[in-house]
Amino acid sequence: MEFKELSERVEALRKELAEVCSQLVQRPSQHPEGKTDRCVAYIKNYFDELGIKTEVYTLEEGKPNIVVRIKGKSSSTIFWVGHLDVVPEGKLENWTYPPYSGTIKDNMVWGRGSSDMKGACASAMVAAKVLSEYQPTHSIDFWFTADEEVGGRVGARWLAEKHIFKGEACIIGDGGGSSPGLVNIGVGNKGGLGMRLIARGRTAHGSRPYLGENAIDKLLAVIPYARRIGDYRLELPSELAPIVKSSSEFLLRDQNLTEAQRLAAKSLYDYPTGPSLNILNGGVKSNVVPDYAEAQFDVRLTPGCDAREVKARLEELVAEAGVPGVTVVASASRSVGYYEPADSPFVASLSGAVRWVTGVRPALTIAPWGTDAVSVKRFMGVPCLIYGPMVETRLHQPDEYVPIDNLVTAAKVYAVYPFVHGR
Amino acid sequence: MSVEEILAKIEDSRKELTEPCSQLIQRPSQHPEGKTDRCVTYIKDYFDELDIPNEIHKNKPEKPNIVARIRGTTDRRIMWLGHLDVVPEGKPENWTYPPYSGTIKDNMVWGRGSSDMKGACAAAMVAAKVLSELDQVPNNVDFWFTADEEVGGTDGAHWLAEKQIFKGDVCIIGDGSQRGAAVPSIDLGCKGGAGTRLMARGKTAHGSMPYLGENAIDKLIGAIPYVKRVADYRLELPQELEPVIQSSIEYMLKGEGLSPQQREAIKRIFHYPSVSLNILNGGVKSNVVPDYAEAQFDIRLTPGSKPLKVKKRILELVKEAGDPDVTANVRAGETAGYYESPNTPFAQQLSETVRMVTGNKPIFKILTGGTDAVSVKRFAGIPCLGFGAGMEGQAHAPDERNSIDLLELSCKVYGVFPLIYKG
Repeated sequence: MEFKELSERVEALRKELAEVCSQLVQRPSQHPEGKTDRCVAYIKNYFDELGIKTEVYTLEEGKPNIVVRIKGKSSSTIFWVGHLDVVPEGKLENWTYPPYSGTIKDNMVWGRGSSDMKGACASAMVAAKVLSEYQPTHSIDFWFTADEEVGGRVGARWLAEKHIFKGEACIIGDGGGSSPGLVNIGVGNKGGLGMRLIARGRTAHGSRPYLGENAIDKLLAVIPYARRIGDYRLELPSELAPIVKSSSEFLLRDQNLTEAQRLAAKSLYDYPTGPSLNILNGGVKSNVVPDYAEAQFDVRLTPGCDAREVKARLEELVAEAGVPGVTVVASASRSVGYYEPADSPFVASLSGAVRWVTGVRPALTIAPWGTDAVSVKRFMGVPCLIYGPMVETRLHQPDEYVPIDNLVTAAKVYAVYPFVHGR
Repeated sequence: MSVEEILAKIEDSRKELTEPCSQLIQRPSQHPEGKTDRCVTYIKDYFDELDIPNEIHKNKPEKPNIVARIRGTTDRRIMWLGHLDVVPEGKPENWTYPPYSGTIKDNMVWGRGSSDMKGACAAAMVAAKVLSELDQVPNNVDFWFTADEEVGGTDGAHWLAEKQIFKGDVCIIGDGSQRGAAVPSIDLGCKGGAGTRLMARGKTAHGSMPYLGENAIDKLIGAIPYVKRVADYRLELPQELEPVIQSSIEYMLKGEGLSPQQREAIKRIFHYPSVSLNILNGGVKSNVVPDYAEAQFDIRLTPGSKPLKVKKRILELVKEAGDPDVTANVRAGETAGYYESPNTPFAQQLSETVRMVTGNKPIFKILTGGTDAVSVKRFAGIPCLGFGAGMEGQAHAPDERNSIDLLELSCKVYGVFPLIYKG
């Protein structure tokens, strides 16, 4: 098998690839509903027309998952996992093109999910189409799933826990790696420390606020203490040091970063991310002093650290604030996120495929975000690597886009890999 | 009939007072719905049985208002105004007796609305009954029971005043509280609001790389302390109000169980704006850096002050915060609240009535909270004085209750004033 032929075949489908991505974007699947049914119907139809069999697995109505299986020569199977759900679009005025228009312009596909990660799904679909025309060495199942953005309850987590996923290695499409100058493979991802500050007070009429205890005021007083968890240096296993270093260096390759952003990127792995105060709620009525307020922080930890120690430090900080009625709730287990050893054969073969397609040896990184790999690792013990066409800097932002070049590059890697796995 | 006789008559019907109070509580009218239909039906039946003429006026079917009219021998007309809607009950676990049980126990009526202000409505109903039994009353008296006070009077007093359905030479507002017969008080006016909304806009980003976004919550929190500083802005007040302010402060300082901080707050409450941050909202998803957050401040101003100057100061402070992405919206008009001079015949004759009923000269004070008087003054131009029947500190609180003594006291004042008022 000439990889060149495979590559040219993908190249020839460039237009179709962009169109498939656009079509997926045009089928909104944003949370809080996160319905994947329209995307799944589109994917099913795409493969039906090619005479390729698909199977749909549904735990919750409206949130189906779909798999397309490409048969290989050997009995071994690898699998690719991507998700079809997307985060909400936010304020419409921040978008140049309507978020669900899937506008194709300037060699990009624009819209919510283009980068995270309907683009990767489109690459996988086209790769599957091309692979169906050949017989790869290894079988590969391409999974398009639901609910990644909310923990995978009826998507990858369910499919992993019930061992509906099958295979000896897993490629997670939820990542970057294809952008010129930013070629990389994710060998792990960070995990979260769900952290909420809860303040309780006593209501009073807004005209006599001094008779109550304002829960919002209490919360605001403690927030600066809680934020100091961002200065807590993580203890990481020494084997991870080179990857942490290359991950940081990788992020700093972004030439558009301001000085403050560069500083943040530098400490992104040795310290907890953020904490980013992403949700704040308090009060029920404008003339009632609130008796309850809550802050939700997004705190991310590098795999290999002990989340329980971070939690203990957080509790110390909140205690230090000394505001009665304010408590911190954090979920922390021994392990957070996951990582693969850099010297594993899987890393070597995927690096080889990426290098063949891009001409560049990929950097090894730890993704700062979470992926469904955590579920696959936890429930199946299968090694996972992250590679896709994503533009990391546009994640969950307005004007999300993906370059068509990235889509093509990722599709090539996905098409080549079933030939080189284990080599 | 002499005043002594009417007082004796009310004392005899003391037991009769608790029944309508309890019955009104048992007909829930809490917001956000704030439906007054069941209460109004009860009141209509009550007056129909006594052959007292009454009319229903409604702007919305489920929020009727009702008026009962006592014929007088002159053209003068006294209006009594109360509201039937109540604030939500809050957490049920904070109530000793179910909030809509109207339990009568320990010489109290318990439940949401007992003090604010179904108790006063019951007192007015019985006062109307007693007046209807007299051979002649020198003044016409309209007893109004209305909707929507707790939300600004949209379909209640505001509407009735604006449409000129309210008629009268003077108006007694039943909303407010008393401390008992030993220290009776009359409300000369009430504070008004300068409700302020602070809005912050940012840029979303994935929570895993928060430094790529601009966190709107962080921006909001940065500006909040600036807005709070309007609490240090000394209000310019008319000289004639100073003695009333001093007596209001003295009255409030006599409240029980005040902490040193609360005493300090009371000393400032008329000369400075009161500021309470009652609602805070930001963020849509725990892993998305928010691009919008807002805070709602309850800011109250003494009548006679200059709300537009306060507004200007708030906007100055927001500007001082120095973040162009944070803006404020201040709701302020030419005047705040309202007040009557203590030297009018109306004030003197109501004061005389209260002295006759209680044996003590009432003090004049300004209410910290708003009442429907503001609408009556502004739209119908009718002078308003308050004589409340609520128990101090009970409005909007859990375990709200009212003493039968206060019901009787206020019933006497509402019943006697129509015999005393001479214009």
